[in-house]
Formats: sequence, structure tokens, C-alpha cells
Amino acid sequence: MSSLDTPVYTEATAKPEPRQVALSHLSVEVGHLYMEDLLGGEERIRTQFRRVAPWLTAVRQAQAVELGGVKPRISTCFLIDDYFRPDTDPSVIVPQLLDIAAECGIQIDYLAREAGCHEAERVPLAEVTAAMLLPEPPVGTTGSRPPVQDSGWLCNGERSPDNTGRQAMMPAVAWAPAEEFGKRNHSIFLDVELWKDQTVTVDGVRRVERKWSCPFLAAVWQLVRLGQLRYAGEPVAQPQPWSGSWPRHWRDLPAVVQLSERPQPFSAYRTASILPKTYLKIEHAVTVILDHLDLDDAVVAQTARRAEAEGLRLPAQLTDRVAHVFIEPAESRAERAW
Amino acid sequence: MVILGEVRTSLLHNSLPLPRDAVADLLSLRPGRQVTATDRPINRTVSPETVIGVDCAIASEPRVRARGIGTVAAHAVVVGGLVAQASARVRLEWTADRERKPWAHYARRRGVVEVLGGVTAEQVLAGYHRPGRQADTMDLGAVCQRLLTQVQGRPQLDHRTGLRTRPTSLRWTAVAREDERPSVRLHIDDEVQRTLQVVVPPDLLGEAARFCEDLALHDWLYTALGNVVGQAERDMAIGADPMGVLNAALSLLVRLWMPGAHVDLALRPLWQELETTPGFTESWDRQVAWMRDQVSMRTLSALQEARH
Amino acid sequence: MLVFASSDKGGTGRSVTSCNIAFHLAQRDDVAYLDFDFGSPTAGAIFDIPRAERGIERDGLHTYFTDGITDPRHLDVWHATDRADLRGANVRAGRLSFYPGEMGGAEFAISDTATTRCAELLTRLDQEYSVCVVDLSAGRSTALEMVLAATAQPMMRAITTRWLVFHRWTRQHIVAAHGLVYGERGIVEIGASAGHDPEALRDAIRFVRIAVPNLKEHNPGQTAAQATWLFTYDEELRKLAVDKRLGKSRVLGMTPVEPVLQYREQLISDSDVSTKIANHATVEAFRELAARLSDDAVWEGM
Repeated sequence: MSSLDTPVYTEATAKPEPRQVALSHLSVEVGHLYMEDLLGGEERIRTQFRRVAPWLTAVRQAQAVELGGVKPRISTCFLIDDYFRPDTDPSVIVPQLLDIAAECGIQIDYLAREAGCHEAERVPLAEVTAAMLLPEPPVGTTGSRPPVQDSGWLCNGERSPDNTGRQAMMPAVAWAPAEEFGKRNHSIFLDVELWKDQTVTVDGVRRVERKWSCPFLAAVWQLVRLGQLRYAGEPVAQPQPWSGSWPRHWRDLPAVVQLSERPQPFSAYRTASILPKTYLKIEHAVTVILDHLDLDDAVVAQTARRAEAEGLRLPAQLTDRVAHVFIEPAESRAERAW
Repeated sequence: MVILGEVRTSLLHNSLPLPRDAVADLLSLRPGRQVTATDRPINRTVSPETVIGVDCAIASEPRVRARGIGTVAAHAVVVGGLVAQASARVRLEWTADRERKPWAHYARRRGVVEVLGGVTAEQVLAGYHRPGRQADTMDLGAVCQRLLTQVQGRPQLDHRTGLRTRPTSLRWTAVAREDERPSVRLHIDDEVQRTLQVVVPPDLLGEAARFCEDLALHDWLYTALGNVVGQAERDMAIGADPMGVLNAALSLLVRLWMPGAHVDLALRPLWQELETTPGFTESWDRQVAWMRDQVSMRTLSALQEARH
Repeated sequence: MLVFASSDKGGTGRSVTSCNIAFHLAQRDDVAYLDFDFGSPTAGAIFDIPRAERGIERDGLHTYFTDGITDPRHLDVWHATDRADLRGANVRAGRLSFYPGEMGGAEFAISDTATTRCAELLTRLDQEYSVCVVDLSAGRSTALEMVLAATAQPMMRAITTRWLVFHRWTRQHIVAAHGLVYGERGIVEIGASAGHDPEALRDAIRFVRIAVPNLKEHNPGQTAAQATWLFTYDEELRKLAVDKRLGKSRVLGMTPVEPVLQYREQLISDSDVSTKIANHATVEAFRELAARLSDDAVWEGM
């Protein structure tokens, strides 16, 4: 704290402090279904929730063991794929989903929309997250040149050299394989598409429209659950209770809907996601994205302070707070593009 | 503890000073992150921090193999709606590691560069202050320049040049030493390049950047005014009218002169040292007085001529 | 103010004339000279800077565009030149900064990134220098296309921009210069497609006639028949120039035939004239070009 900010003279905008959000110990994502699965009959939904239920119990127990005597604060959530399929009807899907979950002994505290990871209550969460990207520098990066960035892509290593955009009559660069940073003997190189820009014409006006990728929105989803996102210091995508009938359009629902009465807080120190194995590659991509973010350091520090005050052990690295359980998918969909 | 930094200062590319809200908009460089502003005694607005990763050699003198891995933090500053600065810095932390750690380790330590290799702090400081950057070593100047270019290209500006000025660059180091009085050493390398060495107590190390930005601002003002006087004299020598450049400088630059206004109280003695040698404010005041004299004499003779 | 020097054909004297214009402008203002002749960066030779005769070794304009460095190197001509008579000739001269290309540098593919970087550099230098003279390659080059796209960007709209087209006083050169400006894929057409207002762009273009023979001068070796032919042909060229919209109102100026420049492209200083090596008329022509270039009245719309 500088002496300029002593009580003698302060100004409102001089040092903004982010607002806090309530935190559970753990946020558990209880399965995930493609929109086609949700539309494809009760049995598919039932099969998945039956497989999720024992793991949910296991995850709860694991958290209790970790806390050693403290009563765990655990909330559950479920994410709906409405970003890529906004054309479906929540008034049909939601009641069915909740009934089957309850039947399988799973209480869903919060229902969230994937489109809400793009924009929640008019806050552009995906854009905010994109502005936090901090690509990893190859050896020899001095800062002299702008970071080598294929706009819309992020990788965990160094790409093969590229021969475009160079001067005329220059010798071509020899081919070399892409290489993972910090590899162990061999590379597992991953290049993730974060978004795709398309020029569209609306009423004769050309503009660029950005379509965010599923892994990128899934990374935002993790950040929201971990309580790490703020917009101008304010919390984002806060759960809102919903009573009454379900609307016909997803966009008429808040980004995160609170379903149960008096649940534990939506955001948590840690997350666990119980997902069909088809999501393994997406979650790998999510890990790469989360490892390459410049988080809001005030929020990070605040979270660490609160954990310490509660006597919790909290890994410094965000991805170490993120756990997964992969279960058998409803049917083999490995070939289907997400 | 050592901080290396660089500040580049230039006139905001706008015909008139930008109102405070427009400045806040101009410096909203990262969606969702806050711009900070103080309004007194003069508006000073700071953009959110931007970060980039580096992994490269670190300059030293004599040259020793040393590798720095981490992130450079940078922000842009606008003072009085008129002067744009880009300020980049790294705090050096020595480590016994021999290899790079997973990136997330560096990503969460904004503005920290870990130093690998047997180089000492003194060698790094000497290397950084050598004129001309050693090839393939960390380049804070380029980080500053890109940020400045980004700010100067923003649509909030009308991109009309009110006064032609040269950007200046100040490379600085701050060293924390226990039980030592804060001290400062400024060196003018050439017309646009300066180096600054600051020693502060450890608890004030974080405030050093703000002092260096303030000094860079005033050094730039001083330089710009000197160039204006030069241009006015050149105009007068060939019988051209110097009033345009004199008026522009008087109306734009003069009210920004407030050394130490935004500096932590504990570091203001550093300004007092510089006021003694080389003496900033006294000679600034003289230049301003000369310019005002020129303007009033010319106005007066123009009036007299009109009367005849 | 930004000044772009172009020509349809090589060997028109574009570079040497624009260097001399920059030299005269710098007598009272800060001037930057940028070598955008990427295929053959040789303006250093005209300024007589030995270490930049064919461009510099690294961190020049090529690297700025293709590699993303932030500060292309520049040389202070007064200090770097080997011409002792240029140094200290005018203690009150402005700065003359030369931004060279690179030795072995070549043309590169135009891209949005290069165009943006071009706009950024020119905007930045316009804040610092009263005049920036940008020497482009001959013909429909990458450099020409890039600067047309860059100057159409919103951040550059407020900057005064003037275009010079250099041509020799021959039928072929007049036709070629016409083509470069008004023809298919010419400056006006490409500029308009990049977002320029074609009329405003046309009004910002002036022609410079290079090495125009002075027919009024007495030439003892000439026969009467030759003289008559020359007068007739000169008159025909004038008519052609008017037809091709290169007429007097669109001409910034002309330079006479200068023997020194036939042998060696260089700056012509007053000392070259006083030692009777160069013609007084040549220096006067350059000075006149520099004066008219910054005279707004010359550039008012037609």
C-alpha cells in the first residue's frame, strides 16, 4: 500500500478491489449429455445418470477425507449444450432431465447454459477469458517480436516452422516436427482451436462473427465454477433462482439457474467433473487453456487468503484444483465431431 | 532484489487533450479488467497490466551465460489526457533450477523473471545499463513500443498531431537495499535515450516504477520543450513565424509540469536530489518564461503595427 | 506530411530526386526518408553513407515488415554521410533521418499484418517528423499496394498525404506514368478499392518531370533541322501530357538535364554548384520542388 492511499487523501477509482463470491469446497459436474442424447429418449439419460451416481458418492467421500472432519460444502451442477444447439426447447428437456436425475438419486443444485459461458447477463465471458491468454514462449523469446500467435489457436509446444510471409528469394526453412514444451522424452503436442472468425452479412452490412470452440467455453465453465472470473471487479454468471414454468427458449433463462433450495455455493475452491470418456480430449484442451492464462491476480490472492483463513490446503496451480472422473459413454460416439 | 524496467513516453496522437472518460476508454485494453485513475493534482490513468512470456539470455557485464524465464508486465499510462507512456518491467528472482518448469508456474507470477545461471545482480545491472542492447537478450523496449503503438492506434484518438515531438525512452533499474537512504542516478545517453539507477529500501521497491514513470514524463516534457525552443529559433533565423509552435507548446505542455505529484511520499526525496543537480524545475521555468516573452513581444509588435 | 515517391519505370531519377527534395526540406524541418524500394534498397548510396550503400545488415525496414521488430534502425544523415560539405553546412538545419532497407533484402508478400505495421510506422513517424519521404519501388509494386492500403486506414485519414509520380520527358514515359496513375490496376483504381476517395486521391497526386532538356539554351553543336525537330517534338509531348492528364496543373515541377546525375546519383549541394561541378539550375529545381511540395496552395483541389 502506498502512502498516496493513506486516509489523508483517497480517490474512488484509484485502487479497485474485486468483489468476493461465496465458495463451496467442491463443485461437482454430474455428467454431460449432447443435445441429441437429451432429445434421444429417456433411456440414454437414465443410463448416464445411473453411471454417474456411484462416482458422485465417491467424490463426496473423497472430499470429506481431504477435509478431515470439517463438514464439506459441495454443490452439484449440470451444463446444457445450448451454444451449438439453441434451437431446442427447455420446457421439454429440463423437466425430463431433472426427473430422471432425481430418480437416480442425483440432486442437481445448479443448471448452467454453455451459451452463458460465451455471454452471461451481457458480460462477454469468452472475450474476457480470451484477453487473459498468455502463450508459452519458445526458448529464445526476448520480447523483441510480437508473440507468435496463430489467432484463434493455442498450443502446448512449438509448431513446425512455417514458410509463409517471408521475403522473396529466401531459402526455405527445413521441416521439423512440432514439439511439446517440457516433454518427457517424447512429445504429446496439442494445438487447440479456440475460436473461428467468419465474415457474415447481416442486412447488407459485413461483420466478423466469432464462434467459440467447445473446449474454450469449457475452460470458461471451469473458471466460473472456480470463482476466478470478474468483470470490472464484479462477479459474473451468478446463479439466479427460477420458479414457475420453463421457457420455450434457452436464452430466456439466466446463465446459471439455481434449482434446489438453499444449496451450497455454486463456485468452489475445487471442481470435479464426472463425464463420459468422449470428453477426455476436450478436458485435455481445457487443461492446456487453463495453464496458459494470466488470471486476475487480485482474485487469485483473495481466494488463497480465504482458503488459508479456512485452514484449507489449496494448490497454487489452477489445474491442480480441477479433477475428472471419466465414465463409459452412453453409446460409442467417438467418431462424432463435437 | 532487482527490478529492470523501461518507460517510453510520447505525445498522445490527438489534436487536443482527451477528456478523462475518453482516456479511461482509451486505456481499457483488456476486457473486464479495470483501468485505474487518480484525478489530483492532475489526471493520471493507468491501463490494466498486460503480460508476455519470455525465455532468453539476460544481458550482463562482463558477459556471463544467464537465462531468464518468466513474464514481462507492462501497462500504459496517460497523464493530463495528453502524454502517453508505456512502462514494462520485470522483477528478477534467482533460482537454482537448471531447466524450465511447466508454464503455469510462470504464468501465475506476473512480471517475475527467474534467473538461471551463475550471473550476479551487479553483472545484470551493469549489462542492462550498457548503451545498446546486447543481441538476443530481453527486450523491454520492444514490449513498450508495441503497447505504445497499440494505444496510439486506438479509435478514441483523432490522430491529428498538435505538436511535433520526439518520443523518449528511459531504461531503469531499481535495487532494494536495507538500511540505505533512497538514491537516484540519471544519465542522458543521447537525445532520446536515458538510463536511471534507483536504490530504495525493500518495502518501497514496488513504488519505484511509479517514480521512474514520473521522471520519464518530466524528462520528456523537458526534452520536448527544448526542441520547441530550437524549432522556434530556427523559424526566427529564416524569418518564419514561430508563434504556432510556441503557442502549441505553451497551451499543451506547460500545465503538466508537477514533479513528484504522483510519487510515493517516501520517494519524493529522490526528486529533490534531481532538482539540485541537474536542476529540472528552475530551468524549465526559464524556458517557459522565454517562450512567453517571445509570444508577448510578438503580439505587442503586431498590435503596434496594426495601429500604424 | 507524408510524401510517396513513385514511378512506373525504373531509371527515372525517382530516388535521387526525392533524396534531394528531402535534403532541401531538412534545411528547416525535421525530415525522415524511408527506403521502401524493397527489391533494391540503395538510397544509402545517394546520401553517400558507405555502411548503408546497399542497405544495412540487420534490423532495417525489411525485418520491420516481415519479422515484427518494433524499431527499424535509422541513421542521422548529417553524421553518417561521407560528404564533408553536407555536415555543418547549416547549423540550424532540421534532422534528416534515413530509414534504410537491408542488404540482400527482397520484396515480400503483402499481408494485413504488413499493412497494419506500415500504417503504424508512418503514423508514428508523422508525429515526430514534419515530412516523411517514402521512396517506393518502380511500377505496381508490393510497396505501392501496401502504402495505398495503409493510408486508407482510419488512423491515417487525418494525415496530409501527397503522391509524386516521376517520369522522364519521353513519349513512353508519359504513357507509362499515365498508366500507373489512371490505368487499370493503377494508383487511383487500387487506392479506391482499398478505401480511398478516388477524387481526393487524384487531387493528391502530382507529376515530376525529370531531365527535361532546356530548348531555349543555345547549343552550338546543333543544326537548324535538329532544333526545329526538337521544338516540334517537345510541343507534341506537351499535347500528349495534357491529353494524358499529366498537364501543367498536375505538375509539381521539373528538373533539368544534369550531367553529374547522369554519372552518379547523389545529393547536389550548393558547394557542388560553387565548384561549378553541378548546374545552378539543378539545385534551384530541387529547391523549388521542395518548396512547392509543402505549399498548400499548390495542392488545392482541381
